[in-house]
Amino acid sequence: MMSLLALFISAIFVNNIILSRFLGCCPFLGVSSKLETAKGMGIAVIFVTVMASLMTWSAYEFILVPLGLEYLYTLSFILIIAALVQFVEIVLKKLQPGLYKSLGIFLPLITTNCAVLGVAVLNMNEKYSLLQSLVHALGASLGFLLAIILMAGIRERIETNQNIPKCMRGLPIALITAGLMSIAFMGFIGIIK
Amino acid sequence: MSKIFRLSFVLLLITAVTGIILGGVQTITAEPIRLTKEREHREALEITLPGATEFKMLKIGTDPKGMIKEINIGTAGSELVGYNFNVLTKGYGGLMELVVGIGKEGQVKGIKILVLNETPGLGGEATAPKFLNQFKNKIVQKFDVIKTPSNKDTQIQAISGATITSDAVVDGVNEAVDFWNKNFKEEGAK
Amino acid sequence: MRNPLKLIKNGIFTENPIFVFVLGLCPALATTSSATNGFGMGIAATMVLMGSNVAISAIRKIIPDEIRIPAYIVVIAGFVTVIQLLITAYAPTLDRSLGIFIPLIVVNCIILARAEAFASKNSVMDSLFDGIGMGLGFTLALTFVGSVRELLGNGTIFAFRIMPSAYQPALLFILAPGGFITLGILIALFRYIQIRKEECATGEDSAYDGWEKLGGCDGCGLNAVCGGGDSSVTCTEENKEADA
Repeated sequence: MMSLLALFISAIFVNNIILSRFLGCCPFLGVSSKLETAKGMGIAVIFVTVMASLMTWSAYEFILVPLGLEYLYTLSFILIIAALVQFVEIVLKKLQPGLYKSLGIFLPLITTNCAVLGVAVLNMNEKYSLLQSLVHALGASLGFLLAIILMAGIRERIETNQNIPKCMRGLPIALITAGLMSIAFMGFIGIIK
Repeated sequence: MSKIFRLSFVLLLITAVTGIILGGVQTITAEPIRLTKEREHREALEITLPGATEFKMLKIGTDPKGMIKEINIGTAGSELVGYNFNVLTKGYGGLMELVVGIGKEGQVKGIKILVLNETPGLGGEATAPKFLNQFKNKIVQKFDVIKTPSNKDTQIQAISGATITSDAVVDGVNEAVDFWNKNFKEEGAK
Repeated sequence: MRNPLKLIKNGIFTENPIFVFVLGLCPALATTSSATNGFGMGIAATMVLMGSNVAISAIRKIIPDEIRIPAYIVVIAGFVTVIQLLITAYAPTLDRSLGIFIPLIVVNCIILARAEAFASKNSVMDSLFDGIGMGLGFTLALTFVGSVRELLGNGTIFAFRIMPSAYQPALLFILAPGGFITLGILIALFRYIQIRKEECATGEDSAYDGWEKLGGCDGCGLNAVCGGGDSSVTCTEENKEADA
C-alpha cells in the first residue's frame, strides 16, 4: 500500500510528466492560454491516459507476450490509443452531450499527445503490475493537469505585460517560465526515498 | 454501410502489410540483436572479473529479495577466478542493472552498470570510474554511503547530488557480497 | 519535380521545424542533454521521416480521405519499429541513451505534420527530399541545442573538453530546467534576428506578436483537424457534418 502511495506521489510531483520527463510539451504550451481550456485538456488527458493504460497493459500481457510479438508494441499501443480516443468521442457524444461539449474538442489532440503513449511505454519498461500501472497513469496525468493549470494561471498574467522584449514574447518566455517551474518541482526530489 | 466496409478493408490492408514487413525486419534483425546482447554481456563479465577467460551461468536458488538476476562463474583454464552477479536495484529514474565481479577471496573486482536511467550529470555519474573505483579490491561485509570523503574501506562517498543513485548502487553491491558470503565463501576457502 | 536543393534548404532554414514551426518539442527538450544524444535522436527521426514521407506519398491515392490519419499513424509506427529494431541491433548505446523517446517518435508532430501537409499532396521524389530537408533541420537544431547545453552544463561538446578545466560546469543546464531555459533563450535569439531583419528592411517597427504565434500546434498539419483545442474550428467541422 505504501509503495503504491509513493508511486502515486512521485508520479505527480517528483517525476512530473511535463516538467521532469518532458512528455506532453506540445499541449502544455499550446493549450495553456486560458485556465478554462487548460482544465478541459487536463481532465481529458486523465480520462484517456488511465483508460489507455488499462488497455495497453492488457494487450501487452495477454496478446503480445504470449504470441512473442513484443516488438510490435509501438504499433499496437498507438493503434489502441487512437481507437480508444475515437470510441470515447463517439460514446460521449451519444451519452453525455454536455461532457462532450467541454472535453470533445480536446480528444483528437490527445492521440498525438506523447504523454499518453509515454505512460503506456513506461508502464511496460518498468514492468508494473496492472494496479501499479493504473496508479502510475492516474498520478502522471494528475501531474499533467497540475502543471498545465499552473502554466495557464501564470500565462494569463504575463500575456498582458508590455515590458517583455518583443522577441521574448510568446513561446520563449513560456519556455523559460516552464524552466523555472521545473526548478521549483526539483524541490520535491527529497520527499521520495 | 458498404463504405464503412471499404474503409475498414483499406485500413486492415495497410495494417496487415505493415505487420508483414515488420515481421520480416524482425526476423532479419533478431540474430544481430542477440549477438549484440551476447557480446555486451560477455564484455561486462570480462571487465568486472579481470583474468577470467571462461564464464558459465549458474542456476540460482531462491533469492528472497529477487534482486539477483543471474550468476556466472568465471574461470581461467581450470582455476576459479570468481563470480559475476547481475543485480537489479531501484535507482532514482527506475530499475538499474549492475554486474558485480567478486574474486575468490571475496574482494570486489569490478562493477559495470548495464542499465541506467538516471539524470545525466547527477545520477548518471554513477558510471564514472571515480565512483566505482571506490569499491575495487575491497573485502568488506557491507558497504555504507557517506557524504564526506571516505577514510574507511567500508565507506563509499556518494555522488554529489545523487544520494538515491549512490544508495542504489551500494545496495546492489551489498546484495552480491552478501550472496557470496552465504553461498560461495566456503568454496573459495577450500 | 521540384528542385531538391530548394526543398532541403527549406527544411533546414526557412521552415526549420524547431526554430520556426516549434514542432516536436518533447524530443527537443528531452534528448538534448548532450550533443551526441541530440544528434542521435535527430538522425533516428530523419530516417523515420524519409521512410514515412516516401511510403505515404506512394500510397496517397489509395487512402480514402476519412481514414487518412489512422493510416498515416500505422505507416509511421511501422517505420519507427523498423528503426527501433535496427538501433537495438547495431547501436545499443544510442538505444539506451534515447530510451523511451525512440517509440515516441510515432507521436512526434513533425512526422505526422509532414505526412499531412506535404507527402499526401506531392510526388514520391519531392516527399523524399522534403523528408531529408526537414529531418536535417530537426537534426541540426537538436545537435545545436544539445551542444549549448553540454558546453554550459559539462564543459564539453560531443564529449570533447572545450572549456578550460577551471570552468565549474553549471549542472543546471543538463538537468530538466536547463532544457526549457536553453531552448527558450535560443528561440528568442532566433526571433530577435528575424525581427531586426524585418525592421531594417521595412524601416518600421515590426508588428510581430509572439503570443499570437504561441500555439505549439501552430505549424502542425493537423491543425485543420483539431484546431489546437480551439473550439471554433471543431464547431465549424461539426456544422459541416450537420449540414451534410
